Amino acid sequence: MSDVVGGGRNWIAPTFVWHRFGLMDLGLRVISLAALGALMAFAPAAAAGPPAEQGTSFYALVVANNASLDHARAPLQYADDDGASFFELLEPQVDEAALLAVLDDDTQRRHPGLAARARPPTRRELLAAVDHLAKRMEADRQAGRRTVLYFVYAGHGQRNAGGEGSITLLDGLFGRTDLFDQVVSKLPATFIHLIVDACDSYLFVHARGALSPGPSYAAAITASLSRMELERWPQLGLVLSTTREQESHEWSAIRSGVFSHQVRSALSGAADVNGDGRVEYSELAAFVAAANQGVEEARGKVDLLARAPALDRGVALADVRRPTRQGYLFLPPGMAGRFWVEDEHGVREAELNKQKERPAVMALAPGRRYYLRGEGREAPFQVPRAGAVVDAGALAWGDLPLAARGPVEDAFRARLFSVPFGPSFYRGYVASVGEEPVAIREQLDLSP
Amino acid sequence: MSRWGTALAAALALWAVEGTARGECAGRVAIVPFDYLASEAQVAREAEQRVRDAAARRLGACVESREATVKRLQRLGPFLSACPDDACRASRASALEAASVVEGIALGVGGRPSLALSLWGRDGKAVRASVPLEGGEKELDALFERWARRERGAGPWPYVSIGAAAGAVAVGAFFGAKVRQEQQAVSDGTACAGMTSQALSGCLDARLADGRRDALAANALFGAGAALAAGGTIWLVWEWR
Repeated sequence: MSDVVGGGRNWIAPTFVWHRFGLMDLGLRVISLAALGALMAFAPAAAAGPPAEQGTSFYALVVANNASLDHARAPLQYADDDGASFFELLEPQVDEAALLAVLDDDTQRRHPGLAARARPPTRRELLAAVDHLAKRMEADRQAGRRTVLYFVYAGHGQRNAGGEGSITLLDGLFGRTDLFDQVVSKLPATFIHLIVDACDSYLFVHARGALSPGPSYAAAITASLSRMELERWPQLGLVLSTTREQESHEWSAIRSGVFSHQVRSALSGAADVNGDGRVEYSELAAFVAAANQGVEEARGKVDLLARAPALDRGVALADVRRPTRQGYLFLPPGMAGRFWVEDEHGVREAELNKQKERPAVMALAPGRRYYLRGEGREAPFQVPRAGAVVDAGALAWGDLPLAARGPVEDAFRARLFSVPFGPSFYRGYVASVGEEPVAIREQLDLSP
Repeated sequence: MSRWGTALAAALALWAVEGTARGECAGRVAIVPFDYLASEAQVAREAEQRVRDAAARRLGACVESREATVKRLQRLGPFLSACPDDACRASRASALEAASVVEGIALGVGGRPSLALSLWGRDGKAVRASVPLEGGEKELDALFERWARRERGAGPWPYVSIGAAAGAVAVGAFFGAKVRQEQQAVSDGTACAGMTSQALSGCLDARLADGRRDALAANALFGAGAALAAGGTIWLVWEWR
């Protein structure tokens, strides 16, 4: 895996080099690709990582924007925090990542060094990033590699003048048509995981008026999917917030959108219900459903639509088996209840309600101090280096003081992640939504 | 042979007997079939075998076969749930009729297979360790060596060393007090009282020589006491780590 890291500036450089050296570079490139192909053909089979992922390049494009173009809607507070957190989660896992966001002062303090790597979330920057990605993916394709893109957006969503769902950039709206014409169709990716945390985000990928209004919002979306133009893009997987109320999006206690926080938690590995190291769409959806199961307050309810790419319904959104630049927190069997991890700057990285019998693992960036917190207690720890596994069962716990907050936050604190996530919840969830479940082993191998 | 020689020979004999006993079984070790996370059943099975081999190397004949442990677990059935605390683990050890229990989970995260191990004894107090699956033999051996020492206890020698240190300091203090008394007597003029000048000079020289000898003995005993105390403490900490 390349050590190339994200940052807007890195996006432009390879493109420039390509044009500057023209045919000579093309020749070198062909020779390099041929050599690479030969190496791959004769490489020993013992290379690290799951076999299906060895010939895959991963990319991430994270767009976040607090601003609102609609005067009737207040700017968001934590969309930039979500963008920063998504970037920090995905960047160590991918070959190249970019962040398009303007981080406010507080976010810059909580995510040191990130502002220098971010570019403004404008149409021009977005299209430049897509153009750069398209070139890299095409090179990967020619080299016989599969490509996977995470496209993440956190911010306001609204309808544009034509009535179609759009996401909000600094300089204007970026509509559903733009998404398909300027992004999806331009990128020769094997899979695109589209993660959108925005009010009415379903409109960003679905045609206007296709949904029936009413309380069973997510169900209506799911039912209408087959009629949508999404069928034309079988490589596209969706993880969308279908919540309409802005208030439910953000929670000051975690300085994040609730949906984004839950999705990141799932992607860190906490949603891996069958312990195979992979987080599939159905596992993520069930994880988020479990996290919100206890929230009765309508304003706090987070709804989600997760739909795996038609090309492969079993494709993984995250795979903790892959060699990455992350470390891992291992929660052994016996630990049970609600746990969350915060870093030294107070950023809540991941959260879960763990069943006692099930081991779990959460991927974390190395080189930082963290606190594993549970109800009324906390344990400090450090992930010393990439690949390191910290055993939560061996941590020293102390008391944790908690501050009081308002009614919605109390509801969140008491109810979010109040239901343990495990095989039993998962089975019930996938049965209720008619999804194909992942295989779950029942018990230890007790063969002699 | 002098009394000191006899004591030394006895100590060496005890040491040799203790060393021999290391290879013998002080209590059964049950290794529960390993689970896995982000890995595969075959990897977990191989990891378990490596742990069994390491345990057999360090704990001798104490390690129960997989077949026997599986039979016990199948009999226990509903009790095979994950233990959250010492009490549960103690009860699990008791149910398995084992002096020590080993549980393990083969992890395959980040492309670096590793093993999360948990060992506990009849008291349920667990020692946890993370061991790489590639080239982790040394770590496994060290882990079971430490475990064997912990289960065996520290033995009498660190305490003997600390006791000897206390004795040396006490005798040193006796000599120190004696020297102080002599010094006081010479200063007060009560030493060699009533002697004529020739005899007085000889008496004072003799008292001075005695005082110097006693002071040397006191200092040597204090030094030896400090060394024995430090050595015994380090030995004890090393045994219990």
